[in-house]
Amino acid sequence: MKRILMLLFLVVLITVPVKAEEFTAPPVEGSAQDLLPEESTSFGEDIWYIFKEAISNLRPDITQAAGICAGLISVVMVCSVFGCYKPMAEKTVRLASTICIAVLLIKPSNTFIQLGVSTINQLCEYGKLFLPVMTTALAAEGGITSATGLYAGTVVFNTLLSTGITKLIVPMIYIFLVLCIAEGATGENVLKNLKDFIKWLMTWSLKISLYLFTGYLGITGVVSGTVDAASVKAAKLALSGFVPVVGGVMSDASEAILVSVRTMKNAAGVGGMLAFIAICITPFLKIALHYILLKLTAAVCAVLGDKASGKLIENFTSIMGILLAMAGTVCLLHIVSTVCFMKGVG
Amino acid sequence: MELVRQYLMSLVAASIIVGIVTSVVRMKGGNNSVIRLVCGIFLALVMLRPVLKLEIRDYMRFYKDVSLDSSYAVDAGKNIARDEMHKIIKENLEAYILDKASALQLDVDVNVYLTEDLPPAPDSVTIQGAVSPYNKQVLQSFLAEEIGIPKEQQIWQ
Repeated sequence: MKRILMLLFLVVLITVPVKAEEFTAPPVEGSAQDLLPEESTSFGEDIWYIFKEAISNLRPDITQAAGICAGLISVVMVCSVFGCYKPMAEKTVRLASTICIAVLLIKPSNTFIQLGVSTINQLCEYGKLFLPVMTTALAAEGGITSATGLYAGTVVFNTLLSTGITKLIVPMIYIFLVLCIAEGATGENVLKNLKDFIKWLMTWSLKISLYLFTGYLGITGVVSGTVDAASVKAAKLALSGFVPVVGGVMSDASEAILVSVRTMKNAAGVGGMLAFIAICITPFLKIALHYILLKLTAAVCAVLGDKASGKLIENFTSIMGILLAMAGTVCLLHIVSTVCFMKGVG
Repeated sequence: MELVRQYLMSLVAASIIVGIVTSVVRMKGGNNSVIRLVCGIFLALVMLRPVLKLEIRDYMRFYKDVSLDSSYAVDAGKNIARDEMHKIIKENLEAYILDKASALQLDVDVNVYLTEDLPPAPDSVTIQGAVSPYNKQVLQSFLAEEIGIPKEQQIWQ
């Protein structure tokens, strides 16, 4: 009876919490902080809250996008009507419509390209603060091999992707736009293969980097996770059978630390994922809104009879799509990495 | 990455130049087979030249920096786990010994010292307070048999 009471007393004492300040997601800077809920309820509800807040801030962008689309449709209509009355001035009309469409779309396109780049930089900067927190937490849980592999892989892919986007894909976007405007102005398919190659390179570089990263995480998770799980189990078995009383205390202390650290690590992981989504969602929705409306405008312009103008608008729209893919890829990379950290040992 | 960017930029620029040259020659109706051959050789040279200059030294240094950063983060995690385990084991063992002392109706202060190994094992103990010779003997046996602290490592004050 005395031994039972003693054991119960020890169990109560074992529930000593681990320090919480090491394992919290770093705060988000800028406007993204306003999108985060003050009190976290469930993950789904928090995501919905972020989404609603981001949507509510879109009204000025809706007005701007509608204005651009109305301007584009007006230009195409006027040029189409003028072309009907002056069929000999076809080249002049095409040149004029191309210039007007380019003038209307170049500035917002440039704004969105810069917005996409700044979003990616913000995601990468937050990732640099967040990754060490999750790595430390996973190492404290016993996942030493997994933590090292996940940290190294995420940093390498993150750096390659962000550098590739800012140094390679963004200049390619501008070259692509120049070639599209030249095609619209001259009516000739200027360097079609080069244009197609640039578009293919931009799309496939993002896809391949995401596939490679996901594959790396999958392999790392299986290999290093198995090693870590075996190490943790072996250590526990060795403890409980080695020294009487003390071995039991050590084993229970180890279990208590694992549970505490895992709880805090998962809480930090959820906080980090919400932060990544909050950083990405407003620019994503802004670009997506313009993307959808420009797609619609391109379809309307094709109906009005001017296929070249519709194609030029379609090319600008594809750039918006690539910007969405860029921001989405970097955000998804960080979220997938966080989920792997949260999965933990075993 | 800067090298890759420069390579692709030079390739794009060469392609644009070749495109303009072939368009101009076609418009003037000249013999474009020689021009196309020259343009092809020019493009091939542009494609091959930067590849030979590619250096991987910077990438190895980058990976080394990443490995160093990951080891710092992992070591921090291991230290946190070790420190917490040290704290929990020390508190539990002291409570266990105090409970035994209370059963013997002793009013003592106990301080357990652990090793720096992982997991930390009890190394020595300091017991402060008035203890009769009989109770001291009982406690000494208890510490040696159940906690694993030999009599030489037990300090009575």
